[in-house]
Amino acid sequence: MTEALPVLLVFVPFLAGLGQFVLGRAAPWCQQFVSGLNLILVLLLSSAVVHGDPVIADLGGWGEPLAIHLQADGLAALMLLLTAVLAVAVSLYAIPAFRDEPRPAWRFWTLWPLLLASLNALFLSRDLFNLYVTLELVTLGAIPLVLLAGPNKTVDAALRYLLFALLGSLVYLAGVALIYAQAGTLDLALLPAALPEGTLSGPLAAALIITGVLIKGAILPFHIWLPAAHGNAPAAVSAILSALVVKAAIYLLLRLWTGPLEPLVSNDAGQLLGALGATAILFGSWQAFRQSRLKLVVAYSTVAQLGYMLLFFPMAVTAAWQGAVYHGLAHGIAKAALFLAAGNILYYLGQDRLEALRGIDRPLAVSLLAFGLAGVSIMGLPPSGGFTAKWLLLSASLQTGQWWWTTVLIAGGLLAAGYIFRVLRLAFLQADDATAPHHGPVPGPLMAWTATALALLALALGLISAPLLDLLGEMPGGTS
Amino acid sequence: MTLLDGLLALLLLLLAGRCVTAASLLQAIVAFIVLGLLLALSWVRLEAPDLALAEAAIGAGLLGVLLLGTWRRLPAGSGEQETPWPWQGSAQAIAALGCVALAVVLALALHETTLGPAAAGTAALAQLEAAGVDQPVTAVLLNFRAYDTLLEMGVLLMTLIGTLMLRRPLQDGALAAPATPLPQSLARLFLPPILLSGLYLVWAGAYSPGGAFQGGAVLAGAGVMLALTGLLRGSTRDDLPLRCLLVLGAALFTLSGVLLIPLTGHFMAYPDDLVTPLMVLIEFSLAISIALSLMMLFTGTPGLCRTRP
Repeated sequence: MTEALPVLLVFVPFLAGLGQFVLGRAAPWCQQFVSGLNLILVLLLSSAVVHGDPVIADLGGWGEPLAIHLQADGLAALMLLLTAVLAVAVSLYAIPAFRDEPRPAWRFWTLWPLLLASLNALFLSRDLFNLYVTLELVTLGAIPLVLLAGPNKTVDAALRYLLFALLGSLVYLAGVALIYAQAGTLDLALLPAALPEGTLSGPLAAALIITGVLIKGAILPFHIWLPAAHGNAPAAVSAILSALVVKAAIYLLLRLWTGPLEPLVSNDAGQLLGALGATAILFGSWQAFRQSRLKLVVAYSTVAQLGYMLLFFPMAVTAAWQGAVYHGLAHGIAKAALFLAAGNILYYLGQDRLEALRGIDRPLAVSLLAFGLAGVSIMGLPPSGGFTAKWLLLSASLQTGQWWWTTVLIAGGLLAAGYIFRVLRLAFLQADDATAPHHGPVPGPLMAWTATALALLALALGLISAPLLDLLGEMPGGTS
Repeated sequence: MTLLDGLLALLLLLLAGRCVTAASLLQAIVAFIVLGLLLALSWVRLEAPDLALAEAAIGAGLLGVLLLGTWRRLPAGSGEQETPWPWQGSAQAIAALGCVALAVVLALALHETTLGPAAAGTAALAQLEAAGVDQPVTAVLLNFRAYDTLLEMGVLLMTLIGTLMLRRPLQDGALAAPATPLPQSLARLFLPPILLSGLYLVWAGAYSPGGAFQGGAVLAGAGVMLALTGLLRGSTRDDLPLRCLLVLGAALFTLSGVLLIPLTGHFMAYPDDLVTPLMVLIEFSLAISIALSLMMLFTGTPGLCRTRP
């Protein structure tokens, strides 16, 4: 019975998306059922995985090495859980957000379940080529969603995103071809044993695959497509992109690094990735501090926050493993809350320039609460999920004697406090003159409270970390 | 033959270089189309006829039509030599050097790689009997790795939705048939053989090179010809039957995968006595969806309609 769960997780939203496409008009209620069912399926799957053994589905029944397998282990279950929770919240938020625009609404309610299916498929895949297909699916689902804000505004951002993503796919695929040429299999479980050692093409393939994933994951220096795409998309879409889509690429890096690529990568490569991550943290936070538009602040914050997950690679101990993955969860929830709250502000003001934020504290109190609470997790203050993640990374850096990552962690937290408080300070200042410029409608309770619920969840992640870290388990193949 | 192969490789390099250095966009597009045709020839030389067919039909054929169609819609003069940005020269040099370096390392790596029998490939050939078709490529695409193919249909659908979103609201004038030297009577004459060869390619996939993607691309080519001669035109009204046909392949594929689980015990497995008819059915439905999707990428409209004289 449990092996049907991975299959259902891919095909329930996939068929829902196809049905929505055929229907030809928006049916938001249908997606609420799908995201609810998706959450239930993920919870069932997690309860099956938490007892130890992964859940495996053999598609077509052809067995190894021929069939594509879907596999859910602790890491996959956690990412599915993050996706499912955000799917419920974003689907609720999108009902009022897309209510007035029938045409974009239909496209959103078609693309969003398809993207959900693609994300689920990516997290469940156990096959190097199938992962390429799912990466393509995720990207090509994400790019049309960016365009929903209106082609005139976003076509440059979407096109840049597309070109970078295609470059990333191509580089990744070249690596996969090299791996298959040597190993004769694409199954992640069989690859470590099948790869010959001491060749040039092994590390070359690993380098190509990692570079491809870094481009898709918008890791510095490949981040330049991200701020425009995430900053100009509709709020619900920005939340999905920043919390899930780029994270899927980093997830893949964690999965491959500790799995099939493990014999091919060196400690130096890990240090290099760590250095990229540290640069991303400092540069991204600094850029976030300098932006003059709210959504660009949040988008650059994503560039920075993704860097923390890369700090796993130089340290590669269980504490770092747990810290990096937990950071993925905490950032996903908190960043979705930030984007939804920023979307509410944009909805009310009709623009998101920072100087226009003065005096919005009264009408948008709930959304600002969400922004502030989510900011606590982004800064890494206790008792939030962000704090737990950084604490784990900190102890890993002390445990491995690599103290320099500690300074990066602290500097990143301070810079994050800088850009979050900069926004909050402006929001609580009095407006210059009573005759404020044109204001749109105040966002309804559904829009305000989904953001707040996510922000509260980001805080709560600091308190409920034990069962989640149990579900994740130890670093694959690692000791201590 | 070595001489021919060498010549082919040299031409490929020259044409690829021409694509990125051509002074005008039109020259680059033409070079790209020729590159696709030569690439198809190379696949023939590498004994991969399936890839050759796909490359010729999609890479050179449809992609070329899409590029030319885009080029025609560009405002006059755009895409010619633009004012270069200050560090364009050095950026191009770095990119070119990087590509050359990567090519050298790749060549070295491939040179030392000894291709043994691939475990997955051997298993596929060993179980070909049970897969329901004689053609290994089709067996992999529709049976062994059917899941990948199904997800690719999702990619195609989402790409189509994304492309249609970019389309500016059309005026009626933009929908009129473009002026073309190809007379309609000629298109009517060519249509039956093209349709027949497209359908044959889909059918042939069961036992020889061909299949849904190649056949679908040829069928889409027929549609493009009709659109170019004005027998068929894009319409802003999208209709239910068309949307049904666009998802037909993916929906049928998924549903057969799910509904047959009680008989087979596995998702996307086929019962032994139904495997061949089911795969042919799925292949044809995929080809219809692929052909329509590719054609609508060309017209760029959510709907299609016949032009009544």
